[in-house]
Amino acid sequence: MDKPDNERVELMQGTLDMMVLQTLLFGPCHGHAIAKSIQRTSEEAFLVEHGSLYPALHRLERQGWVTTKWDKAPGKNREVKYYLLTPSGKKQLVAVQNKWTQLVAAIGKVMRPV
Amino acid sequence: MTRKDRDDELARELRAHMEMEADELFEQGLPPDAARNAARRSFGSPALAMERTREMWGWNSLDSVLRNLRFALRRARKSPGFTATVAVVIALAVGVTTAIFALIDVAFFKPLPYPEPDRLAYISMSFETAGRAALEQVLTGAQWETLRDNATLVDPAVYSEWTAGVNCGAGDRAFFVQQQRVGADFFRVLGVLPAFGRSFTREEDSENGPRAVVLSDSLRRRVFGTSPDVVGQKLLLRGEPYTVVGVMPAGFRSGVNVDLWTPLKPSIRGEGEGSNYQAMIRLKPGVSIAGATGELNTISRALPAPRPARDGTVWVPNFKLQPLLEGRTSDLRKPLLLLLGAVLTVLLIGAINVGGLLLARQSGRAAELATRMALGASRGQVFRDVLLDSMVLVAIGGALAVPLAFGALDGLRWLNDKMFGLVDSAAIDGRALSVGLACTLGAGLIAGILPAWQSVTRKRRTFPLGLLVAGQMALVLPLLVGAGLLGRTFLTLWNIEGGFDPENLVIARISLQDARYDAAEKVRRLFREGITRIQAVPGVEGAAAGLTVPFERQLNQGVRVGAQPVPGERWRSTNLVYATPSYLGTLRIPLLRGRGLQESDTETTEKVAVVNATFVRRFLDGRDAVGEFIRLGGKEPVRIVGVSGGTAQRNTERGAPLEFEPVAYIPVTQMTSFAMVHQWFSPAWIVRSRMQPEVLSRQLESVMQTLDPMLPLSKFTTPVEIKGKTLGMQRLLVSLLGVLSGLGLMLCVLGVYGLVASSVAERTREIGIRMALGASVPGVIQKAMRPGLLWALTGVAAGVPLLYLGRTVLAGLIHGVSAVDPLTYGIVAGVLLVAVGAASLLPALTLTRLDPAVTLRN
Repeated sequence: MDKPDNERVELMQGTLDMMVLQTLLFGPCHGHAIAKSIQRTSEEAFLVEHGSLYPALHRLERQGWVTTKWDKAPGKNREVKYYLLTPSGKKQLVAVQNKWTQLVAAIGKVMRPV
Repeated sequence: MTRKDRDDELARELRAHMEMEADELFEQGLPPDAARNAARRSFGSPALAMERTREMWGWNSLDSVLRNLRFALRRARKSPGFTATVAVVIALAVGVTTAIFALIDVAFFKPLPYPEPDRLAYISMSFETAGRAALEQVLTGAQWETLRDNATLVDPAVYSEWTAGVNCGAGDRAFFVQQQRVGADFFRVLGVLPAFGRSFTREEDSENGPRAVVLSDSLRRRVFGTSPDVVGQKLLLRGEPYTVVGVMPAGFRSGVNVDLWTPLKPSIRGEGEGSNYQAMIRLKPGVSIAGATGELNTISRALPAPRPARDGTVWVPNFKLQPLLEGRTSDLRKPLLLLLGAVLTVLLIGAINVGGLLLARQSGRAAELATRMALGASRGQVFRDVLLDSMVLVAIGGALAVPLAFGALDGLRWLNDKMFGLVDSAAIDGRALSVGLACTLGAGLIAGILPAWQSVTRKRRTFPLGLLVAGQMALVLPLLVGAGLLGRTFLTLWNIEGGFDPENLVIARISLQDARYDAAEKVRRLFREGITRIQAVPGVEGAAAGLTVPFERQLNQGVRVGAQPVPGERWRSTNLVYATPSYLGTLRIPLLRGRGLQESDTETTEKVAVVNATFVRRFLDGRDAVGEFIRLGGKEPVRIVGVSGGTAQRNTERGAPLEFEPVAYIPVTQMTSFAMVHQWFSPAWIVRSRMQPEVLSRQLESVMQTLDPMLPLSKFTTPVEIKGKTLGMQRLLVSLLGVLSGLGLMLCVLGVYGLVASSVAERTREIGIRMALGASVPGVIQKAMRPGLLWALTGVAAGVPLLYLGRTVLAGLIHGVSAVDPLTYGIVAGVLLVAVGAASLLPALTLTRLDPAVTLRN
């Protein structure tokens, strides 16, 4: 199920935060699920390392874009920490999404095959 | 949320994450143990994740710095020898830097203790002629009056910088005190008024005005104790009654060490005919320096006649302003900057040396650092920690430097006693300590940056080590050359024979600034009777009296050659010494031609003088001088009856501080007025005897008691002491620079030693193999020494351009020696060769004990 390493893409600086916010748009999620979701949605192009994920999550928390709460995991006898998008987090997501779209479009124009 | 809570929570979160991963793998069919292991593997280092997340919250940096500080301290404790070496090197350099900065601070930066010191300035006379200018900090009476009567933008004050020791009688007690004469406006212009009473009135400051005196606070305490009723009290100064009109506040200083002030009574006659006054000004409110300079330039046009110059042009006089602080410390600025440069160079060498030591030690820590990096420490963290290591070691030195700085300042005080007036006001205060701290931090950075960089790259080690040695050698070269040149200067000056026999001589001074000795006849009788009685003391081989003795500063006197005035003739400057007939014989100054001064030269016989060989060479073109006439100050011709050998004098002008100068000796019997010269000079009794100086001085004191009990003798001194005082600045500079360059050289030797030792240690196996294969021991040693010698010589070569820099700093401080003195350079080269050679040879010699068989087996 894992892609070979050479087909993985290095995460661009700052894009992980954006993808985490996007993932949380669909509802509260814990760290493990966020990582899996990004991996899955990117069709395994990104391997989200814990050494990057948790700093990113805590960075978003400190900025006030996500809040956290401990809750029972469904069907498991285990408490996990859930991350929730805050209203200001939603605004931030819209902002970075717009920027991202512009960026992709701009890069696309430059990199158009001749 | 406390950080402990947050840490716990994070750990829980990560654990939950891992367990979920394991659950998932288990559900995919892996056995529980395998699932857990696979989860842990995929997770990577939880510690690293925690660390990085913690950094997000900003706790980590401070926390890790504190923790690493503890580690660094522990490491420092574990290698006490290493730590002590580094600490001593840094403590010495930082301590001395701090002390010298305390002096620099006073000489360059600290405002003088007067209100609005920026508005105060000295007045100098500048004499300008075609493209040349000469600056003198002295004024004549006429120049002073021109300034006083015309200045509107500045508030001028006149005074005399010259202080004199005088006898001061209060009731039945007598004190020997330092007196300075100042004009009526002096205290007002400085901006400090007496704490009690008032300063001088115009009337008191004019000829024949009432005799008034202002006391320093310390003299008031000495004379009157705590009694507040001081103003109006009477004192006997030079035997004349004076009224105390004021007492200055405690701690007030007028630039020189003074116990009391009397009115200057400036005049255009007497001493005012010559350049004997100093003047300062305070800018009036709202006046700028430029504005005042403009006015002074205008006033200068009203100055008395320009002086003719040697080349036929004229010297045009002009008033010039010089900021008070700059003027007061002008002769100390250069030596202080030289010392600062030297001590900073030593600090830099020390820092580089510590860097080398750390780098060498680093090789032992390579494994530890590699492990830490493998465990996830970032390059930045390792870099920071290694730097911190160096900082901690250097900081220990910096802490030790604080008491050392106090000691060093005391040492400087002791070394120069009265010469730097400013040392008294220098202190190791917050400013000096901040500079010390900055030096420490700078040294720590310089020492740590290379090891830190080395710890995160994987280059070979010998290159930077050798470069460090080269850097130290380059820096030490100008230091050694400077110390050598100053040492040669001092020795050249110290070895000046002086032209007399300084052995078994004792000199005692008496102040004759005393009303009872105003009459010339009384002075003559004092000398006549004094010498008779001293000569009667058993063991005394000769006794004389004179205004001054060789090696010290002499009285300047204008002189013209020829009996009659000639149009266009020039005043030349000689030194004048009045002397008893026994003067030349007692000092053993040889008589080259004619006769000496004799008892038969009296006030009624023809005026005569003995001149010295320098006088003849400079003013009489070396021809036979006996029988020629000169005029000294007055119009009356004086016949030269003899020529003596030259003597070395203290020279306060440009040039060497001790030089052979022209002197005219005249009989004390033919001096008509002593009042003026005794204001400036205390004449000397000169006694030649083989007795112990202590015994002799007791004998002389009792003789003087019988002669005049009210005439205290000052401390007894010897010609060597006088010479030491005259060359005090040279001695101070050469001893300090000698110590500093010695320290620098020692550090360099350590560096070279370390370089060779580490390269030998690294290559022991290789060398062992070579020797087993038949390499000769001398050959191997030669090879082992090579990096030390090569890097050291490279450094010396790189230091040559620095010598040019050193030359500009040394200009004006070296005398009698060329700045490219081959002997100095030869000695420095020899010292460097021997030092570097020994430092390279010693570690290489360990190879002679190397047993190839053992090395191979290991």
